[in-house]
Amino acid sequence: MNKAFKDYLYKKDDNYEKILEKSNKKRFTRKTLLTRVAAIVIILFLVTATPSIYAKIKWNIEFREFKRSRTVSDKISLIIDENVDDGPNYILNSNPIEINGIKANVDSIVATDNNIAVIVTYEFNDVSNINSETFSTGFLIYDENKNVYYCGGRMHLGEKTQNINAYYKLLYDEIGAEFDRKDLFSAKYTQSTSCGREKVEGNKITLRYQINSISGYPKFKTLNIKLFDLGYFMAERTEDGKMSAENFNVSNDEWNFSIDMPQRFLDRTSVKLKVANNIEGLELDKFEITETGLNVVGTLKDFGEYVEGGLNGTIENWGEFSEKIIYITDEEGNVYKGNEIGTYGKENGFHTSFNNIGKDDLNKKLYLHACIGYEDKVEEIIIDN
Amino acid sequence: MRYTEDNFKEIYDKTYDNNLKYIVLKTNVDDANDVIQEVYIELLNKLKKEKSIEIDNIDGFVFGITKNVLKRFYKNINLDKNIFVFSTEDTNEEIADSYSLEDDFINDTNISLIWDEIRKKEDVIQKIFYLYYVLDIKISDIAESMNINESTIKTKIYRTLKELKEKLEKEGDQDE
Repeated sequence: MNKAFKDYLYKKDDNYEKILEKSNKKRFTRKTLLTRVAAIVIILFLVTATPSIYAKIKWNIEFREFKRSRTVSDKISLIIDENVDDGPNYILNSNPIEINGIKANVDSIVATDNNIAVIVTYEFNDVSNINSETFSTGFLIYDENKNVYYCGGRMHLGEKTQNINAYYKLLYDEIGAEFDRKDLFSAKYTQSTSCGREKVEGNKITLRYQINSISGYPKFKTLNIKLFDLGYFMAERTEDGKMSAENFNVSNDEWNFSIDMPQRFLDRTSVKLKVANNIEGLELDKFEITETGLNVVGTLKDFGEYVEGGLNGTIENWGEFSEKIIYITDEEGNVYKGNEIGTYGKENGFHTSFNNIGKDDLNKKLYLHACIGYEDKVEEIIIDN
Repeated sequence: MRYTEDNFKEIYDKTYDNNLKYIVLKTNVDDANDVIQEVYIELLNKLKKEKSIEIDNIDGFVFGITKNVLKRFYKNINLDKNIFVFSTEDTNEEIADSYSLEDDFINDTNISLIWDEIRKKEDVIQKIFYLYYVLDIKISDIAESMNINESTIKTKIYRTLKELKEKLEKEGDQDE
């Protein structure tokens, strides 16, 4: 060893001091860096969030204004005359509710365990500026126990879901029902729904609101209906072949109706049914009849293929074909068509219902028809004791 | 044994020379101080962060950090292989065991000049001088570590010293 070399080049003590210094500096630097990153994040948040905060404030103001500006009718109770109607199609003779020149009248309702249809006629001072083909509304159907069977709007284009959801929440709040953001359309009760035009006469447009439940609706006594968000859309194909559509609002007002169901409807009971001999390829999970309707749920061989064929157009005249997948006849040769057949949560699962058959029809022979392998199979329907 | 930040100085003193030797062997004399600082900064920060670390073999633990630091320092270095390239001209030169390395002309006043001259030499000479004169490592150990014949190391030291001595004398004459 050479002392001069060692003194000149051996930096152990110097290095130690530098290590301590650098270690503290590094930790400080990390802390400083974190502080700076946090500052940048806050700045970025302010820069990016401020417009959205302003947008939210602006929207809140607009929404409050919207709430103030709309007119909400009193709930009009409609009474079914049991002497005239024994269901399931109940005619209602009531006076229309008029708000800002638009009259709405509930003409009739159809109610079974699994289906509810409400027929409403709207009357305008001048219908010429409304596209009756696409005219529809939002609707809310709920019972006396605040069970919401359906709450949904018409097709909206280019509007933020947030705004629409906020409106639904407002409607839920106003009727005192619990709002479940994860179940906006009450899928726990209603599995399929439609709002379609029944007819147009003069300045009147009649719509049919239909909701369907596979498992069945609760045994309600009173059905409440709120009609809102009246409007239509215009669609056209542009020169480059793309569809262009624009939404038009007709009214933000709300029409409220309440229907007390007749005793016969409340007293209805279910009778389980089955087929006399099994139809190969058909499994029935639920096959019941009440005073007001018949419900069928099960699996049908090839049903998935049928649906696919209907969707991709390989099955011609799908509408006509679908009516013959499951239907009922009687010994007198009458044919009972079901409501639109729908899929059910398992492979080849289907469900449909019949509003045109009730318990009274059990006094004659009924036959269930099922389309298996594109062939009509038939078996007698009997009570399942 | 559990080590904390308070044990840092103790670990530093115990392991410094061996790690510095390894670093000098694997890198170069110029970078050695920077690398060894990084090693012990990392160790100190670990102790600060973890508060207390259970370490069975402190030499192995620090050596592991050293290897990681070296990998980062020279990303492409393969630490398991000898990275030195030597000239072969002196390799087989016979040097007597009694050969004396006269270095008493080196002192505090000329060390700066001498080290500047050594740094102009090939990398292996710088390493040999650093390991021998600074870290006080035996020539036999240096030879083994660097995989060079002992006599070759001695010859390199002898020739360099001779050259340095002549240079100093020459410069002394010029000054007079």
